[in-house]
Amino acid sequence: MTAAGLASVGLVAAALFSAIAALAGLAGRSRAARRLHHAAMIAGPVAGLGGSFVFLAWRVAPLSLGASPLLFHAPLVVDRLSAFFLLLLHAVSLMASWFGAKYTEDEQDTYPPRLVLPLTAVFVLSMQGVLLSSGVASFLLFWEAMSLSAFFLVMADGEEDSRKAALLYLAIAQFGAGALIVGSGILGAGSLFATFDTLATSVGLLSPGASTLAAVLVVFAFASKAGLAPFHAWLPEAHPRAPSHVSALMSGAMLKVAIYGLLRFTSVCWPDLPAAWGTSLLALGLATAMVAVIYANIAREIKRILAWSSVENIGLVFTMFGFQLLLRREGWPVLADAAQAAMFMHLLAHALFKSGLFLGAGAVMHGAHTGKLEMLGGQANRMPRLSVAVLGLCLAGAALPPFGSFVAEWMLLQAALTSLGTRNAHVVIASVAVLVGMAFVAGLAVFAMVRLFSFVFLAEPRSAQARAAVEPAGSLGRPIAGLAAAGLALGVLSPWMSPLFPVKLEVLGPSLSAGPPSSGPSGLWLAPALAAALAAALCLAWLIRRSPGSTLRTRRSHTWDCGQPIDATMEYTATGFSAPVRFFLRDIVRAEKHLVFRPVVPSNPWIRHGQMEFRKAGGILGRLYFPVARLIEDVGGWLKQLQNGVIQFYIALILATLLLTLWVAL
Amino acid sequence: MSFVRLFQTLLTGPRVTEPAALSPAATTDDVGAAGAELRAVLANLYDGRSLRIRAVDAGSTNAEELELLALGNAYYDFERFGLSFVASPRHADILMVTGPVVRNLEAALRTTYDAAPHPCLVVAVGDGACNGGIWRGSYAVVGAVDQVIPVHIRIPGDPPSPAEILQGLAAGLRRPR
Repeated sequence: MTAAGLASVGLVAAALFSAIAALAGLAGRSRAARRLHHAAMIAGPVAGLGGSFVFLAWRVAPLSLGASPLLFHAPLVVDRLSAFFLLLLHAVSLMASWFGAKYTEDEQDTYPPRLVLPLTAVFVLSMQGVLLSSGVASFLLFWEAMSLSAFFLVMADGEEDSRKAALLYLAIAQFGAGALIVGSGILGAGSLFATFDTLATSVGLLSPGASTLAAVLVVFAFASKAGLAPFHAWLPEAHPRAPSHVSALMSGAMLKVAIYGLLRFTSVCWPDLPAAWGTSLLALGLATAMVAVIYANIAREIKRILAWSSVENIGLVFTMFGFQLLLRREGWPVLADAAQAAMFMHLLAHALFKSGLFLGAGAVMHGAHTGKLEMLGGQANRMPRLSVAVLGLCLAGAALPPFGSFVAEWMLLQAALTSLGTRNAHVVIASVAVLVGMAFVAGLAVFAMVRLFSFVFLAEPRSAQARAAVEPAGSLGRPIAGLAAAGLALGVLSPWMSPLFPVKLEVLGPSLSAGPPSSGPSGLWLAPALAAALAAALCLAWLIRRSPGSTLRTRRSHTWDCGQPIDATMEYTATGFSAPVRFFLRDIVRAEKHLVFRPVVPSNPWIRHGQMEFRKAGGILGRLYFPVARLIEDVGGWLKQLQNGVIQFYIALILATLLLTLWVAL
Repeated sequence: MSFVRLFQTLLTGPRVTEPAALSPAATTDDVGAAGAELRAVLANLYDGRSLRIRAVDAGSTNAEELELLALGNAYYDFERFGLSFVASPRHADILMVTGPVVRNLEAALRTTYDAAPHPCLVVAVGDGACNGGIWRGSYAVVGAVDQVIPVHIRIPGDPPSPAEILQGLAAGLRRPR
């Protein structure tokens, strides 16, 4: 069988397995049906991973997988861009399904399997559909299916807060979907049944104003789905609410599918967006990353921290995208290619480590029955294997070498540093902004990851339930370890990773001079070199310690505690740990602190009860979303007055309409 | 009237204390002799380095603490013999334990011994530490220090005077083991 045949069989099988899993999940509560569901959920991504890998590695030409009247006759097509995202999606969904097979059975009292199993399969199937669609109508169909299945999954546990978060998510998702439908309608000259190929020609016939309007609508739709500020408010509310393996899918895969939509539409319709688009997307992306990383340091629940970190990483992706647009328009194609390569590397790296971290959060919460940092701690003793895997993922989250996320950020920094030499004011200002912003974001991301790991895994447990936690089952731990290993491999093997990406990765040389590496190694060799140095240092330390001539003799003893046993009440709290961040950035965070003192007896003012209340000020929700919602409500209330039930008024309205029509018509 | 009754009780009431057993008061010479001996022992034992002491109160009346404190004053000045108190068992060569080990401090004594680098000498200072003293057999105490951790040197007395402590230490360190 040819490579093309293998790839198409794999990808079709992946979609079919998702459909089987959805049906099996719907079919029943019997053990057999569930087992079939889980088997199909794992088999699908395996087939899809194989198919997209073969497609990418053997450089197969774009391939049609067949059309169906159900999908409006537009064929399912895979090319290098969609194959890269299919690889990413299947890698994440394989690990999430492997984790979910045990997790959904254990947590069935919280998340009803009747709801979660079929919806998860539909969620994966719709993401596959979005990536494979070549027609606008089928793209929109799968897009909506993706939004709606995610909506129901967010409120799967049926709690009031989850329902609120899901509704907020639905409102913004539908706002974005509406913009997308209107935008594609404008692009297709009123028809939603165009394919991307015909769209490319029809967009040329539009007036510049209409084209720009469509671009604004489409970019807004994908940016709001991906969580670009100021449309990110739903993300930290909704992602933590879903079951953990679904959170992993949402942060790891769904956000990337939104980026895929952005890349697909812009590459088809507007291959030459003006530089101002690049500048504004770069500015928005950088601002998103900077604000989100602050909140990632302040949030006190594992999954909320991870959700904020997702917003931060999406901000970085938009920064890279905008920088790439700007550089290309200003006439620096090599540097633009470098920023673009960084973006793709970051997309894959973030998908791997963030889904792993969400699964890790799920495993911890499964064992300790809480996700609050102030109640966790000491899990490294209780879950040694899980803690090693999550440590790796946290290092990847902090973008430290030799993980894939480090490679991506290093490529961006390399592109920005090299751009300083272009002597083009626009480009130089943008690169300085990127460098300064990246310094801020990278530093605080390390802080956030250190805080996350140390408050969950180190020191003493802060609650009885955290003390009673035990190592999760192997089928929960192995997918997490797998994702950590994949993130590590992505970095260490980065010089050989180019075939899996839609663009070439080896763009810039090791030195910071503009231009491609004419000879010698590319800048990608930094990560493997650092990995080798690290491994050599570790081996050396081990050898020195183990050498027979070593005079080091140690006796393990407890921490000297002055005879008073150390307990969790003496520990640093997660809130206290982030106090410097809150203090120095208080103008951005705007926390409200209320101190109330009440005397115990009225006659003595000095003996008193103190109460401190500390909460985040309204934030973006209070400052932007609620005023808009109130405005819509007010307008609605005002319009409602027309429906006053007085028949004479209605007749008068009809008469007025008639007169107006006649006046306009004649 | 109450003053009259007070004086009556004081002067004509039953005797509640015993006359103090007068021990021969230590002279400056005794301290100097014990110190010289200690210095000689330390020159051998620790290669001329000083001896670091961690005092551990395992429930004493503070009488022993006052005597240990007096070791550092201008009169005894025990630092000239190469001895000093340190603030953490991590730095100590010797633990000086005082008092019968009360149950509430048993764990603290154990962890202190565990925290000190080994080999670590343990000196029981005072009758309480040596054999439980007048609290022996009480429900509130564990008993002598050697019921909790190994004891190498015992310095009896209630409390032992600073000179006796120095003499006891010198004798204990000199004794072949």
